[in-house]
Amino acid sequence: MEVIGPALLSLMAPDVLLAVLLASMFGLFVGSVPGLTATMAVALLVPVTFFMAPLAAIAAIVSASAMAIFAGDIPGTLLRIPGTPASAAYTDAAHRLTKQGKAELVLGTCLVTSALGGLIGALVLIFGAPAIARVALNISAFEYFWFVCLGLTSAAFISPGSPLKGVISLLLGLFIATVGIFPVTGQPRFTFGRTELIGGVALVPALIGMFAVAEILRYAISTEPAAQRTTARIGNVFKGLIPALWPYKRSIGTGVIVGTGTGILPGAGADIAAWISYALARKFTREPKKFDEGSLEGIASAGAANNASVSSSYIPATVLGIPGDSMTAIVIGVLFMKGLTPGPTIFTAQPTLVYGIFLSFILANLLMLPLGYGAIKLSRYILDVRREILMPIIMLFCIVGAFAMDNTLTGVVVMLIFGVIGWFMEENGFPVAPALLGLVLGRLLEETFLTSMIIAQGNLLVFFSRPIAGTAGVITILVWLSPLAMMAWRRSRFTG
Amino acid sequence: MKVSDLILGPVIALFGVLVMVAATLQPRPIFGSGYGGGFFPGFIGTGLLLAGLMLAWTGWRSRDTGPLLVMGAWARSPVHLANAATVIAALIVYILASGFLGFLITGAMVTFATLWQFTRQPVMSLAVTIVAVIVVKYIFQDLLLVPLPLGVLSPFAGILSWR
Repeated sequence: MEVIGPALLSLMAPDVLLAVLLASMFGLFVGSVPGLTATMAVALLVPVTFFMAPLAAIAAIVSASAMAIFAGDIPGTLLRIPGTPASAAYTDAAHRLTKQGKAELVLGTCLVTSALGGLIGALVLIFGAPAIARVALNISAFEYFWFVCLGLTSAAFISPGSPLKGVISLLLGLFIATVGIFPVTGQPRFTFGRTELIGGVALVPALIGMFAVAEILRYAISTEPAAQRTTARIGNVFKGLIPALWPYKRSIGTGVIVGTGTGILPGAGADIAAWISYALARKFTREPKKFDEGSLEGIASAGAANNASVSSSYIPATVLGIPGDSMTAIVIGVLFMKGLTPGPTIFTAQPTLVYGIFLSFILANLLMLPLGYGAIKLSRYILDVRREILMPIIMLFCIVGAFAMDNTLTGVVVMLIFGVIGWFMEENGFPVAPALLGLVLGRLLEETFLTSMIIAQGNLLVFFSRPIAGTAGVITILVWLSPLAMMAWRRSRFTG
Repeated sequence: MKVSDLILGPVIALFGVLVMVAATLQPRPIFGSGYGGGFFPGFIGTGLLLAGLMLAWTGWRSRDTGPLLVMGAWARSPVHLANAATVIAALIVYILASGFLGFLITGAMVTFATLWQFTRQPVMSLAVTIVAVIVVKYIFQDLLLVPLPLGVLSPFAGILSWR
């Protein structure tokens, strides 16, 4: 904990603060434009962070993602279109209150509970991550292998749509990760003789393709009519907020706990946290009738949950190097690009940097109050930005961003291919996040697998010989078998 | 564009087989362990084969309820088809032409074409294009020092560097 002081100082450096401020404004803008997701904000930011120092880069990503998740509530409240998927759970509830003339109160609730959720999640991160890291220092390749397996498996199974399609998406990501030099023999693998592929498929162009170009394509063919303009006049969103929220403190607390817990789970991101906490608030509310007619309770709970999960998703990402969702997968990619390997040793090797990153959550969530207030005030103008003008400009940014990674057009080619693949996958119900996780973690999984196989001399039983590895292995295999068990159970119920 | 699992399943299974075959062609290390570059991809190929077959099976069971291919409403709308074609064509044109024409010209061309297609307002599209290209050029080329290609504008490199 003695590194908190130096970490705070490094976070207060002018370049870091400027990066945080600009990234926050960018995140607020992208989050509040419907159709642009928080993941897209992060994907577009990565090429710029490539040129920054590690702390400034990650702090910028942290701020942009936290702000975008909150800003998704603004169009949800005013237009009934969630700005990001994480706001979808309570968009209807929020818009119902807006129609009753309570837009200010709803937006104030979203802003304050988002900041609160994010802050508490950040505290859990600051105090929880090092403790877990101390335990994690004792783990060997076997445990690592099972943790990565468990993370990837839950990512594939929890993702929306059928688990089978999640698994296929994951396997495709893992396969793409095998392209490039095979480190053991030093021979190129699946490169088709192309020198550009020897270093593997570039991660950043791939994710710009999957999350930005695919979105542009989806917009290009979208036959939905343009969103209506907002007419709501927004005054002081903080007025009368505390008396309005005080009765729901228990629900907000539940939201924070659910969000923090969901964030730690690999594969479950902010949107799932919001859905679960909204459903819980609905189930345990003391005023069910009021809840359905329009109440702040569910909004406050889910609004706190999605931002809490953004903070706590960094626990598995930094301690084990296993991302919880697509956004932390991108962060892990950025850490690797900066020559840093996430894992328990990062706390001893780079303590100032890690605590700097953690403290940037506190900074970002505190900044959210004034900046978010500004974004709400300006929302009439932001929501009126025409997407038909925005999309071509984003395309230009994508092109240059993909090119800037290694200054070759290969990046743009990779981006285009992944854009089309990402679009096709989403159209056919294949979630994209597992593919990204597979792409980021594929190398690590193969490495730990081969190391474990060599130590075990090919005896698969050794994978279960250590207590933690054995437990994690059994859990992973149970998760793998769960669809079969469910099928058998359904069939027995059907016939019996 | 929704393709039935009955088609996607076998395609994925076939891809799995291809991965398995490609994995067996990988050389094994001479020293140390017997695990070569094909060991791990072999597992992935097997996984893809099994998952593809399972997907085909789910597609087969629901074959009566869904057609093999459903195109979205955009496929019947010339405007939306042209929108998608413009985005893809713009990216392909950039890939092919930016080396020769340079970023400023190709970037402006593709941005203008897409803006015009999306908005149908040529004057506004031109104005937005000019501002966007200059801002992107300044951020990436002059602030972040990304060597965006100058192409045919190389003789004017001196005037075009603003750092």
